[in-house]
Amino acid sequence: MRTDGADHAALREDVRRWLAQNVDPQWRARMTGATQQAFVSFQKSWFRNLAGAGFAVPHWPTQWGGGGRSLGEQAVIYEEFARAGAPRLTLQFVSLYHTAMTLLEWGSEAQKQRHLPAILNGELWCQGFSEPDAGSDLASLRTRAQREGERYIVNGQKIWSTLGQCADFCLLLARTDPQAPKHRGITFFLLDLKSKGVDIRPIKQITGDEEFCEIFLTDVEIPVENIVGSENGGWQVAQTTLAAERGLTILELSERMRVALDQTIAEAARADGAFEDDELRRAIVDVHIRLEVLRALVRKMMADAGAGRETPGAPSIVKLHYARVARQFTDLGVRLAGLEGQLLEPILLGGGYETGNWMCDYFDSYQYNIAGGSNEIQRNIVSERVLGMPREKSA
Amino acid sequence: MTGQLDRRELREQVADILARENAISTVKSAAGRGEDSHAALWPLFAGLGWLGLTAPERFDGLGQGFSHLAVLYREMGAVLAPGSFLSTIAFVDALSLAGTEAQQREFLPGIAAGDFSVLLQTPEAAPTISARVKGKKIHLDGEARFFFGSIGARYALLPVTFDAGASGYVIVDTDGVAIRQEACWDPTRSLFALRCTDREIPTERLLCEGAVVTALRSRLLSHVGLGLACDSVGGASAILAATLEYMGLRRQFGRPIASFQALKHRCADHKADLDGAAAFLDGICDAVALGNEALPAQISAVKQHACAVYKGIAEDAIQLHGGIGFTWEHPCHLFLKRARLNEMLCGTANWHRDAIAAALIKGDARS
Repeated sequence: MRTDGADHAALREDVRRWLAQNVDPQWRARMTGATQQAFVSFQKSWFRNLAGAGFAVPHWPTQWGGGGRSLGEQAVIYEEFARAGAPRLTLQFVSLYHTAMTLLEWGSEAQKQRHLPAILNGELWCQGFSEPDAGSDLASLRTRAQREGERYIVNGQKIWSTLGQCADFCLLLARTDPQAPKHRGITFFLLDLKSKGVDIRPIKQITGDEEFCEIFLTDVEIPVENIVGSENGGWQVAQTTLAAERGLTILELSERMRVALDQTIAEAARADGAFEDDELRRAIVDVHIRLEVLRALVRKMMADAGAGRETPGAPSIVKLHYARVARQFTDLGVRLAGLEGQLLEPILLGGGYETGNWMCDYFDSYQYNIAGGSNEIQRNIVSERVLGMPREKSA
Repeated sequence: MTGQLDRRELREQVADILARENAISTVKSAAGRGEDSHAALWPLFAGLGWLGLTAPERFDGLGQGFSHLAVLYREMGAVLAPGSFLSTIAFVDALSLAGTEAQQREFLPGIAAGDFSVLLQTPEAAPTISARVKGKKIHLDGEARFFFGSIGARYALLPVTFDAGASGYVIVDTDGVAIRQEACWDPTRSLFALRCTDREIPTERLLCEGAVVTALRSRLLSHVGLGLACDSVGGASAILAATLEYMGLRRQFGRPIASFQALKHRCADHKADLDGAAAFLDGICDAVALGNEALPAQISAVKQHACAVYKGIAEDAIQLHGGIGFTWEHPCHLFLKRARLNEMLCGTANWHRDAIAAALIKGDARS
């Protein structure tokens, strides 16, 4: 995939050369079955390596130490990382995208000065948006922040915070006006996770990994200067957070899947007669076609975004496609692996949804169908905002 | 309409014209009489220059490339236009690949002027007509089925097998060929069977033999495959829009059925499928228009996928329309019937899947 032609040929060449010299070919083996501690230390060293080469924050403006790269250039970098099978930067993802983009758009000068350089030095963030009773209906969140002088006292519970157990800070949404309509009583806070009253508990998930956690907040104090945007204006700020990665994640994931599918096809063609079985052969082809459709859609979305023509609903449509192909691809993998694939194998940390441990990838692929706005929420968005169908009534 | 036209403008122009001329009603009323809409629409197409869109300017054409043609195919699909447009314009492409200057001069200006149309066999079919060369003449024998186009076509492009086993393509006047119209479930289109009994044609009507035959077959598969994919995306887009409009008007339980979440989610999936097929198709049409020959496996993928998406949307359109969608009067059925015909023409879904599988093993399924 060439996102925008020959202009970036030199960049592409540079990235390739750097990757060839810097991706440890053994990283997958080393991270398979690794402890969380080993994973965190590997992610941190990979991040330092990337930062040194200018590939950690190509999307940040240069005044904050970023690369000031265009969306097209960022796409080139992601494509090459995907092709090279480089480790994903999962530990820093929220810090580099969600926190940084939110602060750049909404943060005070002091907040930017305090956190952006710190993030480049390894400060880690997690997101505290979802709650046990506020998932798809995020705006109904109930974590309460009450002002007392120059601070807020926060009580409540957050859930599904990715790698929160490793984080230093949290992007927190809490209700500051329970009387206002639900979208208008929410405030966006920067929460220091070392504060008294914060209790973080990892959640063991379907794969056996502990990537998420719950955050319990009991009389936690947050200083007033840690509000982002205005009091009760947090919903709008959160929209920036949610749109922070501008399609780059799906670009990377779909290119990684392309590489993985090519390997899967090569193995299936070599090994076990999968291509002689009419039904299985055609199932492989269907995944290939679905993935090519997704890649065409991603290419179009990135080109439109680069040209300032973002179409409403396009990210939802792309997400629905990725979610579906992730389920189909990993299901195919499970089928190809047969009974052998049912044997429990240690899982790879920091891969994608295509690590080749098929049962793990198969279960993990649900994440993409649920997180970041479930398929059902995406369908609401497409039907209401793209097709103009009547809005769902909500309480 | 010369030089490089803006595609978006062209799409709007074409859609406007087809709406203003009420092409869909013409198609429907012809279907009601058991005919296709060729006779009614052909003069319009000729008058607008569409029949000469891709022919070189020296033969009265407009010299435009495939990306513009793709726009026409797509908008034609939206109004269920007759099959003669695709068969005739694919024939223009065949002439540009394999035709002599004299052959191009003989046929292209007449096509651009709307004087005649051409029958074309579904291009994956193996030749069933035998050809014997006797001096300056070629003698044709045998029957070939599954030509598409319209009744009254003056010529047909015929794949043949010569005595020695070599293949070729010849252009035959339909006079003196027994043509049997095979009515289709899609009432807007027909298929035709041609029988030649010692039919004699001059050797000037030989379009190609030898190595060019493979190239021409591949070009026809590509052109017709992409044409059907465009027709499918256009048709799917039209029937989805019509369905959404109906759902906004139809009220049950005191509210429009468009407000039921179960139905909204189905429509969202259809929209996602449609946008995916359109992006996939546009990417490949652009590559073809830039002169990069798309790989056969890419054409197969887009043909198979666009037809599957069309089928899915057209099937559910009937369900979403309820009883009215089951009637002959409402055009829903025309889209579903077209979707099924498109799916089977130019290679069935599994024919394409197996071709793609072979390419995947060889590693040439994508560029």
